[in-house]
Amino acid sequence: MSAAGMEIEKANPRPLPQPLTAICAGAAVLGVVAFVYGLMNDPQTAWLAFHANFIYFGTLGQGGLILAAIFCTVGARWPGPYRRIAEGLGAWVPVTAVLSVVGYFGRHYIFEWSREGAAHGKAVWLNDARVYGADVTILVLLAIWALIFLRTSLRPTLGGGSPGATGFAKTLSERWTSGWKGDREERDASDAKLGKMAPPMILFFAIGFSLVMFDQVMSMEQLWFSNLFGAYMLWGGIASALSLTTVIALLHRKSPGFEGQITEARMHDAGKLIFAFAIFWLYLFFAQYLVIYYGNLPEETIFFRDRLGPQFLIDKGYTEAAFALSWTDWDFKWARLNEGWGWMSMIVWLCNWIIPFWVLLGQRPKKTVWIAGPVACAVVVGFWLERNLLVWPSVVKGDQLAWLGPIQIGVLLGFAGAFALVFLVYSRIFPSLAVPERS
Amino acid sequence: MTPPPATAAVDMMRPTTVPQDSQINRDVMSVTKGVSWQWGLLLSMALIGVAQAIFTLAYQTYVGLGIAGYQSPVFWGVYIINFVFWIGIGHAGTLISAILFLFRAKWRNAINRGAEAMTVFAVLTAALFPLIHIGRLWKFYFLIPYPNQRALWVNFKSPLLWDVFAINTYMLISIIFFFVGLVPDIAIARDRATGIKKVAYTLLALGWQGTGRQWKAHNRTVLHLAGLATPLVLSVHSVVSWDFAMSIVPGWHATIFAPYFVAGAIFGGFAMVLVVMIPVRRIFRLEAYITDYHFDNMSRFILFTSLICGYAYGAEYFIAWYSGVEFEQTSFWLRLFGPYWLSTWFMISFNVLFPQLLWIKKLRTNVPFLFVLCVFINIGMWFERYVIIITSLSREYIPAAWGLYIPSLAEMSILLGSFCWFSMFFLLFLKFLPIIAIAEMKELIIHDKAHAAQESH
Amino acid sequence: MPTLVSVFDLPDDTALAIRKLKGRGFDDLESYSPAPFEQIDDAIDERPSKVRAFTLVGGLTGVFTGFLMQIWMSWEWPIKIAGKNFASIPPYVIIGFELTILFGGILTLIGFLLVGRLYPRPLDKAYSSRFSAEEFGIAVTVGDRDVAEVDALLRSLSAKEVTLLDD
Repeated sequence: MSAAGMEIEKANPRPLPQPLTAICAGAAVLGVVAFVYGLMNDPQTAWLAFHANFIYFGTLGQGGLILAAIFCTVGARWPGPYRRIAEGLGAWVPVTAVLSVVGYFGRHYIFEWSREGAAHGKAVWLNDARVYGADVTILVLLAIWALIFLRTSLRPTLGGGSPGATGFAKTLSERWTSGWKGDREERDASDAKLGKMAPPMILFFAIGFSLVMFDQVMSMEQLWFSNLFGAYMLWGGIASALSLTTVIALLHRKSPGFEGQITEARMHDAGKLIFAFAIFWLYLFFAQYLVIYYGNLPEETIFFRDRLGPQFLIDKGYTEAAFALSWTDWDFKWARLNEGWGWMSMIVWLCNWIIPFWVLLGQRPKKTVWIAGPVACAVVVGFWLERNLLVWPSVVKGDQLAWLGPIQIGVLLGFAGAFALVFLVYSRIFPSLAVPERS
Repeated sequence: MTPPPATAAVDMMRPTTVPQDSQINRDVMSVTKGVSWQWGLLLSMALIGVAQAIFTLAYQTYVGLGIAGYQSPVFWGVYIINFVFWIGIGHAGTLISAILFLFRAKWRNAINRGAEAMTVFAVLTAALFPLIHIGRLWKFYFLIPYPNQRALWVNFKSPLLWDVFAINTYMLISIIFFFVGLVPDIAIARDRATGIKKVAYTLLALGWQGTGRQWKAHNRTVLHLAGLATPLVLSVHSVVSWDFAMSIVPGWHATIFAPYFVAGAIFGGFAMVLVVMIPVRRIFRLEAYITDYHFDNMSRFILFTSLICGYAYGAEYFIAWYSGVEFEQTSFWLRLFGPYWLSTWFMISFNVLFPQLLWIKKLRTNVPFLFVLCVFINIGMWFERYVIIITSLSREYIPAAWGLYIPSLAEMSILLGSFCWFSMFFLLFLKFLPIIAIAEMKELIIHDKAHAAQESH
Repeated sequence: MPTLVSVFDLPDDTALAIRKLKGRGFDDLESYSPAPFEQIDDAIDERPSKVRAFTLVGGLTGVFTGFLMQIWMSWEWPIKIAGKNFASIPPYVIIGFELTILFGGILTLIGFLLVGRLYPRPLDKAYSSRFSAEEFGIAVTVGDRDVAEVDALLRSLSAKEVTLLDD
């Protein structure tokens, strides 16, 4: 809804903050070094770490863009700068497309069907050409769509060729604002275009990204299948993007141009969304889990056995003892969490549901920077662990700490550094983080 | 006691203008006034429909469930389809009053009362079907956990028992929600009624006067009920879906069932809201309150939920094929090309293909078109449940468990009766309670008035 | 003690009048409004409504009732069903959840009735049907000698009319 009274946003170009930019760049380089080192010494670990981070940051960046698109579609009026930050995360979308091509070279280490051949009857779908052909195409299309979306969204903020921009950014913003019609007209035109562009983009994202997730994550356990899995992964991406958006917004609350923008009302709304998204995430998890728990079919429980461990399944593994126990004793045994990735699952639940739900239940915590911020951080970390939890146990059974190690940390640093760098460049130089202009 | 100073006393005795009742009070309350012959005819038809269904039910109770189309291997038929269908219809009201309330979507205001009423009536309809379906009505209390001489308890691991809890909770919470929203509006009716009606409204309005404290409690209550009802509405149709998904029947055992059923329920419920509200708006001249703006947003929502249904159909078919499980593959093949192919194609075209027309802006506000579309959507949603229940049950793992199900006359009679039962409640509601949430609309009206006053200063 | 009933057209004026009256120490007052307006409700009472405590208590009671009932009943009459433990938590989440909502909802309703003092009873003398139309009202009980002062104050705060109720 382009309310007539809405403020005009203005681009806010600023130099990259130092030493943060240098640190991010350093981390990215370190990541490449760690990855290369890993390829030479332990390619399995290096590729799995790469894959887990590729999935996490891929869903995160795409989730941010979709979050912004959802705001446009429903005409949400509360987000203000939150929408710009969420769009900023979308700057990673093209990088995901490039990284999916890189993943091709590690396919033997990531996918059983690529290494040893697909299971009976599945070769039609699970083969290198089909999987990478389809996935790279989808991701490239999404990247193109993202760029068009971002450009349309940015244009009205670049009025007057973005004063203060220099060099490349200046040329670009001049080119992007050719045929300028005036602040208000441009804003309304942009809103109208985005309103038309966003719904099909969300639709294509839902279908295309689900397929990519089926291919890239579900097929790692090639016998397993769950038709909710695509939606579950998408939701995780949007939920983690919302949390990261909140964290960034809170960090910006004293930045030039943002003073007074990260209001209590906005924090309250963002907090409510984090709360609601956490509930819905748990709902999607539970919807998958309960059906599989009840069915108790081996080809389905295998996925949960490797992750939650036997504790959370009907068939506990050591049947005699379990049966005897069930007459007299409590169902729950802490020791069983040592099997599968039980403890890791507990931590993921803690970060993704227990913390956001119980801490953000009241009104006050949602409006308090030092409570809402750490909770959002916990969700961001929780989803990173969750993506690892989905990727690793398909290959590395039972070793709950397989995601932790020098190579893995190095690769994570590389991804996080690169992601932050992309966001910084995009938001500062480009500049995406427009600020509402005061009259 | 000292009399007040003379000047003030004179001032106070100055005759004041006769206060005008507000336009919206008159417009909305006029719906409840008087009884037209058309209304009487509709109500009589509804009552006749209910009567014939009661007769069928009595006959079925006497001779047994054999007169339903149940035969091996299909023992869940039209009654269960109706149950799922009506529970689904009952989802729109809570969605509009709870979820859209939390998301502060203003376009809900004009339609939420009608939708909430529909929710209550639809759940009251749905709750009958498990009773009709069990055949021996008088054994229903077996489902309730209470200390008894047999020293046994119910089976909490059965999804059918979850249903008992979910449906009853949903029924109670939607009635509470409906009632709390109604209290201020009943007070409006009380202030304008006379005679026996006044007594009834006075009792129901509970001494509501719109004091600051009462409104504060009211707002907080609505907020909390919305917070409780939102996860509840997700859970209710999820639990209904788990009646099927907890089994390992091919075509039923699917992880996507819960969210897919919820989306389908909201989709069908919204369509039913339009089917009911379009004639009401026309007959009672409520065009000023239910506008193109509302239709546009409702249509967008229907389109959105239709797309989720489409996504779920696609995911189901794709994963059935991808799974490599022969039974799943066969089950979905049979849906499309088996003996019940027609119902499957109805479901796909009415629920996914036709609603795509709503991408066109002009059609989103074309009221006759919307009415026809929504009727088709309701038919499609009924057939969706038909497809899910019948095709899966009639072709289980071994050929010995294959059969053909044909709905019987008795089932059709009760299906007709359920629509009449629902209509009966709705027709009575029209004549007793305001169909539009007056207080909520007034908030907007007064807000505009205040805005206008500010501009003129 | 006489009661002065004043009528207003706009919510902001009403809220301002309430605050002014309170500022002068006239605390025995009541507002009547046809629709919820936060500014008026907050002027009457700044604190959040006590209904929230009811919901919390109800919800907690519900979750404990739900789980304890199921666990106890399953142990009381143990049957092995589909290989699950007698007290098997995953399926019990559902009824535990439903009862949380049910008890929370019922207690919220009770809280609403108690906090809003809602039960069939005679209406205030100051109340009239115009307050369920589109006008706002303030009823303030004042000492006899303050009537003129309050009357003048209300009129200066754009009250449409002020009436004296004597009892």
